[in-house]
Amino acid sequence: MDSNLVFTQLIGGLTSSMTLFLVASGLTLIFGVVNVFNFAHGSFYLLGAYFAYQLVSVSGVGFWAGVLLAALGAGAAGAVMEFFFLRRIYGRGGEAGFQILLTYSFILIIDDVVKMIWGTDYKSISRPEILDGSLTIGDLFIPRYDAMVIGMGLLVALGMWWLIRKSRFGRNLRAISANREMASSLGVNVPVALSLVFGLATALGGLSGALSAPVRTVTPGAGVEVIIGSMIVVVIGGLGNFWGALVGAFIIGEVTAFGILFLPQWAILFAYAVMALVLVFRPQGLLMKRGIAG
Amino acid sequence: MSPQRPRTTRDFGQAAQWIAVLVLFAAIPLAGKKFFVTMANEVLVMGLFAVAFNLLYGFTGMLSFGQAAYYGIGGYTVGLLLSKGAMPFAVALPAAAAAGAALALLLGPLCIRLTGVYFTMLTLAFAEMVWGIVFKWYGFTGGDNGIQGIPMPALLRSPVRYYYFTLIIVFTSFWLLRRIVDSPFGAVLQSIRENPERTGFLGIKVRRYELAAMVLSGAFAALAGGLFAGYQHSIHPDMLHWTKSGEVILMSILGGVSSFFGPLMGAAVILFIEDMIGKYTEFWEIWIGGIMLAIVIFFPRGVIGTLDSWIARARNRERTADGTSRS
Amino acid sequence: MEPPVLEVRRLSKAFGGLKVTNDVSFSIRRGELSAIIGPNGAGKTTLFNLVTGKLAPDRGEVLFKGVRIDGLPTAEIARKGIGRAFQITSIFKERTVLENVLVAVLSRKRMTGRLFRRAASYSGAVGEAMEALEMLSLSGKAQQRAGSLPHGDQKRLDIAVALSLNPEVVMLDEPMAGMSPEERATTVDLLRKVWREKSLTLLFIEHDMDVVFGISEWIRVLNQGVLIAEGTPAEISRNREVITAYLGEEIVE
Repeated sequence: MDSNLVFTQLIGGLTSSMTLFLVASGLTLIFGVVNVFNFAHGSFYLLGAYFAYQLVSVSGVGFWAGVLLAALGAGAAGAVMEFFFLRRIYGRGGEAGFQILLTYSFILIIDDVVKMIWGTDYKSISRPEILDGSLTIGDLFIPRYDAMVIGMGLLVALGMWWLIRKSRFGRNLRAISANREMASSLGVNVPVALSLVFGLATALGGLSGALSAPVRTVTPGAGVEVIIGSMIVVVIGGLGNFWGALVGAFIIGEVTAFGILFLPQWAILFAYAVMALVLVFRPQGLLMKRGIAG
Repeated sequence: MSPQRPRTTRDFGQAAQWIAVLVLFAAIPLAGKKFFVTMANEVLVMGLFAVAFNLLYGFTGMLSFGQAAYYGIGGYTVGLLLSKGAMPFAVALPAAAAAGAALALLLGPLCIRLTGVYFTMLTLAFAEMVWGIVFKWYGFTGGDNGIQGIPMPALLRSPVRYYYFTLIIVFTSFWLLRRIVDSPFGAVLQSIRENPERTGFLGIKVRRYELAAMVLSGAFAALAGGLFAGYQHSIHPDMLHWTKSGEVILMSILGGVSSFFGPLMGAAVILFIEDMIGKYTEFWEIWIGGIMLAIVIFFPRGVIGTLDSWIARARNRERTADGTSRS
Repeated sequence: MEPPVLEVRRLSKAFGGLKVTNDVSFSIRRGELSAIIGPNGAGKTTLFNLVTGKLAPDRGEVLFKGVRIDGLPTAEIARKGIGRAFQITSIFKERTVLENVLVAVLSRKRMTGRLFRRAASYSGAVGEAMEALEMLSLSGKAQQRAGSLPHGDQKRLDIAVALSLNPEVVMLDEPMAGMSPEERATTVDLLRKVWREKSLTLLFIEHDMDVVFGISEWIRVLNQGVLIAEGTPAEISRNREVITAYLGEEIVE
């Protein structure tokens, strides 16, 4: 096999890994701290993409500002969902079922809202000129945009690690994740923290959507693909495990990228196969340690 | 004192209820309007699907977001066997149920390795996988077009005849499912829902029963799918789409998951609403999502469940007004 | 002499760095009525979990009638003849009292695979379930919703469920917890009666020393995962180490 091709797939896989990681890390963060599986997480990816489209392609805001604002917008929407709706069903018996149904209803609502505002046709954003074209390293090409996404992903990973491990907020999150009542009695403002972490997680999802908008067409269906992919990632990495999300995203990104070389139509099946294998041999996820800090 | 619960007026009441509902459904074609027959046929099919789903969720406590895979497999089995395999419907329909059971035997053991939210996620992921395979396999399944013009036997071609056929199959299935729920096996399932750990301490291999529940639920869901294919004379990947799984969950929680026929009622209500909404706007998702949101927040026990608790509360108030006390 | 019905050899279990069960060994004779006591956190419930299969030991063995059962799944151990009642009542609250016990009976009789007849129509099983309820004076409440029972009755139901499996060894985790003194006295009498009539081997964890010293023939004392003493009630009440372990705890003697 031609080494150029291998390298191209490697980079492509890495890029989609980062996209997946941004979404999955938020999903796993919410699960670890708020103890909710945010089924609607893909919808915030979607909102990020559409907000970015609106800001950059329609309103002419600069690319970077547009992406940032789009992420913040998605984050705000997430915090609203948590504060006004999800919060009402905390602590109910059979809670997991209700969470899933509530977040599912938001998938439907957001989906239609997006269709009502922007319609169902494909939207796109152009890349900023500075990121057009490729970098050359010897014989190998790396598309500049991909390099940015990869870099952004690593930056976010480091930032999140710092936040969770080193910052006071992170300490609070870890306390809440271990024992909500105890954290509250130790003085942590739990309700605020829950909304904040939810907003942060959905902002990451929105960031992913915004960054993906120039390279993938923006359609209402994108949210669903993303949630399935992230689900596979967190199962592989371990629900609630932050580094697991990174490792899982990497595996799925590369497996899919190389899978395309062998069975283009069925590449996604490779991802399912990996997940099935993990489930059979290690249902708790690949990274054994629990806790949001991995 | 007799250890057995004697046949009370409640039992006769239950039998009367079944007969009443059956008669109601049987009488619908007599009203003469095609719309009623079409609607009732869909209600029966989705009702069966929903009751089968509820065997898993309401009775065993397993929230599967992937039952559409079984419904769809059933539909596609009938569709493919009839159009490409030139098989008779009488063979294809049982084959559909068998296909549903087989799929559950394949995917089930993997899914039940996880519990709670993990389990739900997994059922969704696998259902998406099945949908993806059907959607892409253009040569075999017709891909995103599906298959139209499925030949049905002459005996069942008239909508009214097919309706009565569906009625018989669906009510027989309801009867079977009811017996399963009331049986010792059903008692175990309900124990698993309430306290899986304790059930294990009773010497019961919980996973085996969970798998059995998935197989039964899958088989009846597939049967419903097969009936739908016969009714529509066509099959389409939408039958396998996760929104179908979501729809049947919504029907169950609307009707009330702790009652046997709740999902059937929920099916009737939702299908009616969808029909009405469809006339005015293409944006039906926001309505369905809104209804679901309202139920989850305000009526967690579903329509029947909430009505039940209102009635119970009213009765308690009566009783204390009487002066008699009750714990 | 008959081999012990239940034997624990050098059983150890650690969580993180904490040794919750530390090299515990003892044997229980058939028909024994004994108690396990110890301050909070001594590892008593963990011991029960290790014996009944909820936990697998890090080291050591558990033998039931001479055969190793450590590491087996709970369902299998229950099937072999070890019944258990729980510290936090673990009954099926939404079902009736009768249904609670009926599931256990049906499980024991291997009838749970039956799909077609109503559970309540198997008169043999129902009869046995009613007998079990009768033994614990609950038969009058057979049709009530289990969750609506007063706490003491719920605990007795938990015991009745454990007994319906016709176990040879019954392990009760704080069966009297939360009961009023009258309820306690009644339950103690019922337990003694059942123990005699069914020739059971009864092992229970309790904090109420009246009950412990009143009913048991043998007492084992755990402290911080270690078995520090075992003996007759008289011996234990005089044992220095035991008294020291309990200093700071209220002893109802």
